[in-house]
Amino acid sequence: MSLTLHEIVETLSMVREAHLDIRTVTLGLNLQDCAGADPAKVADAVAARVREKAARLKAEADAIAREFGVPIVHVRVAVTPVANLIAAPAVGDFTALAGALDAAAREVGVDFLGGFSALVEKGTTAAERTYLEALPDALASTERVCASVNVASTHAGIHMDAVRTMGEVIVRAAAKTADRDGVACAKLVCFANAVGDNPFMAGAFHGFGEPGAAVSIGISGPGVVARALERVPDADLGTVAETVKRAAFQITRAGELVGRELSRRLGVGFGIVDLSLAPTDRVGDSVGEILELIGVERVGGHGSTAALALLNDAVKKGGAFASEYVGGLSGAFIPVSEDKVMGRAAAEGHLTLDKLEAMTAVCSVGLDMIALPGDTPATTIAAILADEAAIGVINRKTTAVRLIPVPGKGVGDVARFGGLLGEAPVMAVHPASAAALIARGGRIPAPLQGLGN
Amino acid sequence: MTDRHDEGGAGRVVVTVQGVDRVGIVADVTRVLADAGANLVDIDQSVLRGDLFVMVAVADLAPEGGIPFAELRERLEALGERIGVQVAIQREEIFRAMHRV
Repeated sequence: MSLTLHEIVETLSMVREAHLDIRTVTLGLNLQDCAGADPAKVADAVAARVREKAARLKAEADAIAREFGVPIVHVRVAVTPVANLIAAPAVGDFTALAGALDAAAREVGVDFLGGFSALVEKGTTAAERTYLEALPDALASTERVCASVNVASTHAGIHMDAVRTMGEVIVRAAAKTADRDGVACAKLVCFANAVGDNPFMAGAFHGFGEPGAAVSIGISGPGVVARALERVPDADLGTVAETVKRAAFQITRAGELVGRELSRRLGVGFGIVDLSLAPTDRVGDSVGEILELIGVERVGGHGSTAALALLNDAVKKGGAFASEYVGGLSGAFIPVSEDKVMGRAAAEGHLTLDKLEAMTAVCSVGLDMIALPGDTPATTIAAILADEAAIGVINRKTTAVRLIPVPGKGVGDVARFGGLLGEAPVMAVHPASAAALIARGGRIPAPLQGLGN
Repeated sequence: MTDRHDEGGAGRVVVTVQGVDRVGIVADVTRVLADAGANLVDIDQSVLRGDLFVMVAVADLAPEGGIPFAELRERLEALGERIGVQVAIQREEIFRAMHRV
């Protein structure tokens, strides 16, 4: 059956007026065979792998975007978690490794490279302890390298020693980039239930069960959903959900097509489509706007969690039918710094850290890109990480936390990270101390939810 | 999966033109396509809201000896600039993927 004029014009206006785009194409690369005892050789091998496998990535992605007429916003690489690639490493070996990956990422034209990561939800190896020690320097001295650390899972519980360490790592990373509002922390994600096929930065890494290489797609399109909802201003919530599902289906099909074509041209297997609504800082490309269209006056007001739950579920239902392989995080993102409407609600005091935490119980990520006062104690940061990990562990879902304690700034100030990372209002934390909780250390045991066998 | 996306023919493209209505737009666009060796398989046009002209042409690119996609795109965009309309060319699969189950 031939296409109708209406169908063709609808697709065009989705791109031109509603900002339909593919948020990210991410090439996952397995580096496990690059491991070794000589740090210089390992660094050379991983950089060579990125240069070889990602050489044509950017050019092919650009060509496909032109041919299909759908923009691809980001082109990225995710690698195997690096923490155990070097036998008996020294701190300096990790900064050198980060430097090598940074240079390779720049050379192949990708804006971020993820996977400078460790999975420590149940314990740390000696190499991982060295990695954690090196992390602030590695992030402060590179531009494109993104790190993530998994500190909890439903199966393992919450590794509170690692949580405490991450609180300290975040404070140190911020201090090392104090002149840039602590930007190193914007490239560092602390996970519970991390997934090995998430294409979105800063938390992307290529999991240990993944193939040699795989192309994964992160779809976008909050604007498409928002424009569709504008057409049903008085409809009941069943119709709202149905409208979101239809839009999600169309966006996902575009992502699936782009991913398969890129996978074919690169000669690399197709991984997954991540059904996430990822906002950008453009006007009209906001998840916050969708929640307000559903009916809450300002994001963060009462009703926001319910509206987000509806949105998140409808995106998955529409998208799951549109793609053969769905994976990654798959849900709505609510980053305060990258979403104009969320940012405004936070600046006006409607959206607090506590409400954001509640909202993360029903969507795909956690506290993403949250600027905190520069004098926030490491133990308070660790406690926020623990709270989010608890939400993820108990609800059998991923939570990802990116907190930036902004040196020298306090509530009411705005942190400016520049470039892709945008800006964020500094949000208040509770003054009561969690130092005693964090000092206990050890592990919070896996919940009954983890004993599903 | 690949077959489903390819059902409209691997070299099938959709050319869309949007702009203020004037004489000769269809002729100009189809001439560029013909010069490129593309075979027109469907064409539809409409004037929306009084003066917004919308035209959609579906064409098969020549399998051999025709000009490549990127060059045809450049020629069409140059034409659009010259006659003051917005011309886009996209592979047909994107529309099928988004609108057909």
